[in-house]
Amino acid sequence: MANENLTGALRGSLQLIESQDSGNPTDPAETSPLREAVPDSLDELFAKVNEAFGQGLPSAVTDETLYALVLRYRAEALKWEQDEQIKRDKPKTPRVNKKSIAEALELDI
Amino acid sequence: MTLTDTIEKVRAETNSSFSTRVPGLQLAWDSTSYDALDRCPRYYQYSIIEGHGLDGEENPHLKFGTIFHSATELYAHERAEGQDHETALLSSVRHALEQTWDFKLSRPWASTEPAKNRKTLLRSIVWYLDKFQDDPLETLILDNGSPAVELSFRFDTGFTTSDGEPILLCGHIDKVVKWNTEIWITDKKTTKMDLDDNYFKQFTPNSQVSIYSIAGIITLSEQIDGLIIDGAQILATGSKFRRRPIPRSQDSLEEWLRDFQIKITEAEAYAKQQYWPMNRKSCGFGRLQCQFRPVCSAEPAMRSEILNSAYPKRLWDPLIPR
Repeated sequence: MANENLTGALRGSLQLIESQDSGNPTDPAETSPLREAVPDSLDELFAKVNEAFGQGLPSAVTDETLYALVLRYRAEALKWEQDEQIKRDKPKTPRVNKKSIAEALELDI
Repeated sequence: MTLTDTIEKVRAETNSSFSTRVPGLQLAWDSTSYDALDRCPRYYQYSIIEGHGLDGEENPHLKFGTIFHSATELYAHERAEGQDHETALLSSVRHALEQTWDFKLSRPWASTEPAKNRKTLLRSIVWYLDKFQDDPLETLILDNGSPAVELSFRFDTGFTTSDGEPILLCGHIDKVVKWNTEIWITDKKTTKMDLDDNYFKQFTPNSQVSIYSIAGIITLSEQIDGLIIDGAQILATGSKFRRRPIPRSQDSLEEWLRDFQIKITEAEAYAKQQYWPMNRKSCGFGRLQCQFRPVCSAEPAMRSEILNSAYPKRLWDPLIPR
């Protein structure tokens, strides 16, 4: 429901402009007739992508290569989450209150 | 130069958001230009009126954020058209790879920001879209069947200059969503900062949140409860995501409009005097200093030369939809 008080202060000549789709559709990726061996590492996958782009053939990057890239990033996500969980589970070292200890030992700090 | 070339050159250098009657008087405002004026009139003069120092193409943070937005927008469009998650995700990945390739130099984007580069961008896109593939924030579908994503808006505020020229507010909404029964506008932010309470505190008070909330009410004729900041923390080794609603009441929006009207009156006074004073309390120092401090610190006679040599120009026109 429109906010009456707010719209009362504003005139009606509004224009909602739907932007052009900012995606940049390219030629559809041509699926290689041969099932290529997909490299494992992220660097190798990016090298493969860069080679195709460097030759002016972005459409030569197959969906298999893109999917391998996605899988690598998903593996990274799992590892990241495990590492973050380890950090969260790590027992916190209790903070030492030096002044309290000094007072207990009757030291002058 | 042909007549056509001359016309194109003049068009490229003319900011359509400004009055043709009073030089330097902005009529169509967005949050960037309004924040600039709010910060310091001189800063506003240099960055918005003259267009110095806003070169988005060389700013790695802006490039990163822009492509993150466009990739996730593409994903939203494809899902709205019925594509499954994996297919839409691959389209977004392909889009991001293309946007981060320099076809002129035939090489990948070389970011100067260690944590925000091509690989971390792709990582952030994959992790974000995987995390939110069954998003509890349901994208609104417009009457024409399109998803309510990346919507440029402009509307007449009802305020005018003393000469009767209308004042407009403009902007670009990321997405309109339904969350439970409420309608919210979401805005994605990519940052290196921790997405903690301190981070989200910056959004109240905040002109962008207020402008978008008002725009949502006016353009969608819906009760908009505020903005949801959709934060993505980009680190060298990973990306974290956190969302927080930033509500806006009718009273706070009315207050913002009142402040806006007064500020616009000030802008008109500066334009009519062709003089924009410095707000010396905004100069800052160290890492937080204003980018124009070297200019304002110099003798007035030297400033133009410093600006033209050290601060690249880019037209900031809120009326141009993204």
